Order: sequence, then C-alpha cells, then structure tokens
Amino acid sequence: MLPYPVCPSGSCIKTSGLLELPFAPGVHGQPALADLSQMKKLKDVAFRCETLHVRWIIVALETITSEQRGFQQISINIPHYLVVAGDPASVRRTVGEETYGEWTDLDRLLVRFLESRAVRTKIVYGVEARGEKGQHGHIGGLLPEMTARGIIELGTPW
Amino acid sequence: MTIPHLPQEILDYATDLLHDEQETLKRCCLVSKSWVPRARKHLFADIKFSCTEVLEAWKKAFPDPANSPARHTRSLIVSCPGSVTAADAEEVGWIRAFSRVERLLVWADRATFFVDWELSLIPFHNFSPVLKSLRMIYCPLPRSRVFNFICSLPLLEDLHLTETTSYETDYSGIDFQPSASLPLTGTLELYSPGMEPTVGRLLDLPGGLHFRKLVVTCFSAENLGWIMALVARCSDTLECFEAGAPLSRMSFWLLH
Repeated sequence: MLPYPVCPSGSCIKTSGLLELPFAPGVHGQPALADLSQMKKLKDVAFRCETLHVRWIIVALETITSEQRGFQQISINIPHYLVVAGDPASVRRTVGEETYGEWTDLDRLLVRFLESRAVRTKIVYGVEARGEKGQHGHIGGLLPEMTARGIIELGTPW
Repeated sequence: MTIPHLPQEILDYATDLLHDEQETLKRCCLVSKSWVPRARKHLFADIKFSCTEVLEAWKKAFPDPANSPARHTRSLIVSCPGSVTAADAEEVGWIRAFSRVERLLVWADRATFFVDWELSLIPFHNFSPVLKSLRMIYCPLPRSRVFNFICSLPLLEDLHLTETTSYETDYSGIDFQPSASLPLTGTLELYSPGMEPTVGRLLDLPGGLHFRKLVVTCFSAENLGWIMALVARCSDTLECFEAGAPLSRMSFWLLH
C-alpha cells in the first residue's frame, strides 16, 4: 500500500525522490497545484507570489470549470518588492520575455473570467508599490488589459 | 452631587461599547465596584503569556486560579508553554481556569523559545471545552503529541499548523490516538515544508475533514500530492482556496 493517498482520477508526476505522486491534469498537460474543479462550492481563490513567475497560477485557474457557479473572486498577493514600475514595454524589458509572457497570459485569463463569469480580480500588494500616478500605476505594466478596463480591485496586504 | 442610579444592564451596555478601549476600561474599574466585573470581561478577553516573567506576574496578581479573571479570557496566546505546564503542575487545574478560551495560539518554537523536546501537552488537553480555533507553531514537538492534543478539542473548527523545520519529529514513540470526531468546519492553514506526516494524520482524523477554507504553502514537488489529497478530502465543503509557493519554485517544478 502506498504511504500517501492517491487521487483516483489523477495522473502521476515523477518527483525528485523515488515516489510518484498524483497530480491533476492542468493546462497543456502540465500538473496543477490542485484540481480546483473538485471544489463544487468554490467561491474565492487566492495566490501568494514570491517571484514574478505566475504560470502555476494560470495552471491552477484553468482547472476551474463553468460548473462552479458560485466562483466569484481571484486574489493575487504580490510583495511590493516584486512590482515593476513602468509601461508594458519597459516592464517587458525589465522582467524578460518569458516572465512577461506569463503575465500576458494571466491578464488574458483574468479578462476571460471577468467577461464570461463576472469573476472579480483583486490584486494585493504593499503600499510602497503604489505609484504616484495612481493606485494602478505599477501593476498596469504587468496586467495592462485588466488595468485599462479599470476592473482591478486593490487590497492591502495582511 | 449624587450619581443617578442606573440599571446594571445600562452600565453593562455602556461598558461593552468600550470593549477595545483598554485604558478607559481600567479607569472604569476605579469608578465603582459594580463596574469592575463587566470591565474585567473585556480587559482579560485577550491574554498573552509571552514569556515566563509575564506568567509569573499573572500568578502573583491572581494566586487563586479559581477566582482569577482567567474565566473572562476568550483568546489566549502562549509563547512559553513549558512555563504554563509547570504552573499547572504546581497548582493543579491552573490551565483549566482558562476554560472559556475560544482561540488559542501555542508558540512552541525551540529556536525562539527554547522549548523542551519533552514538553507535555497533556495539561492542555480539552482545557477549554469551547475552544474553536487552534494555531500551533511547533518545531521540536512530536506530531503525535500535537495531534493527540488536537483530538482532545471537541468543538475545534479552525486549525493552523506551522512546522518551522522539515525534519521528522515523531521519534518519541508516543502513539497518535485519534478518538472522537471533530467539527473541523472552518479554516485549515498548513505551513510545513515536510507536510507528508502531518497531512497523513489529518486524513486519519475520525469523522473526516469539512473545512471551508484551505490555506497551503507548497514547498516541494512532493507536497503537491498531499495538497491535492487535502483538497479531495474537503472538496464537498471547500469555498476558499489559498496557495503560496515560496520563491515560486512551483513554476520550475511544474515546467521542468
């Protein structure tokens, strides 16, 4: 008997150890942190970033299905030291193509959630990161489409 | 000038409005003896034993546990659990004076507070039958000891477990003995680099898990399966899911 529970519907990912652990199918065959589709009563999800790599967030969000009708909010917590100031072009140069591409994908996904299901997005980051141009000044370079629509709700870190 | 007599209910209501005004409440206690009980209810609602000196000061001020204001305490923080258990050994039932605590934080981090490996949690077992929220930060204690304590709390809804190191701490040979089922209907927050044994014990709890909110931090690829197992176990009740990945190594693990 395996020393860990196995998700009956999950596949397996080869880990650095000897065990093969179960995982949920995610985007493009990548494993998701959790199969959020299992949570039939899901209302809110929150992600805490410690680097600007957000692919894992996309993979997790992609597991949410239209059957989860109560789903209403996505929160993303970004430490103030990670928020890059500037317009999209300068942010792209600063963070690099790969990272910027991840944020572009996340931006599109959040817009899709908003348009198809009216899911709110809340970005939580430290006050130090809020630019003089306005509260959305800094995050605008990372989530340009969401920012342009003025639909990002800012929260204060806990 | 005489003070008009007001019904006690009115005085209590006025005092309740001052529940977060510590200094004003202290002054209320000087006005009249009849004001003291209600003011005490709020003054002693949140108690923190941050070190042995604070604990000794409490014992000196309130030598009789049965008549101490401990019965007013709803939220208790213990950063010196060894001193508390010693106090309980000296005066049997000392901890049980805090029998109305609903929220408890036990900070048993050896690196910070020199907690002994042999620290017993038995004096804490069901010390407050109304306890609903438990936060434990522990590094040296055997998980079986922690989980036996958890299982002693019949109304437990929220559970926050922080293990500050990833090494195995179940060396002591004390068996984990799950007993009655717990409600576990609130929040589960888990911060544990080596979460496998902890999650294994959570999954073993009798009565199952019914958490509405899950807060997890994923430290390694090995953690993924365990987080998913928790999600699967609570999938009928989960409404909120919060995940963090230190240094977002997740991205690396997931993509390589």
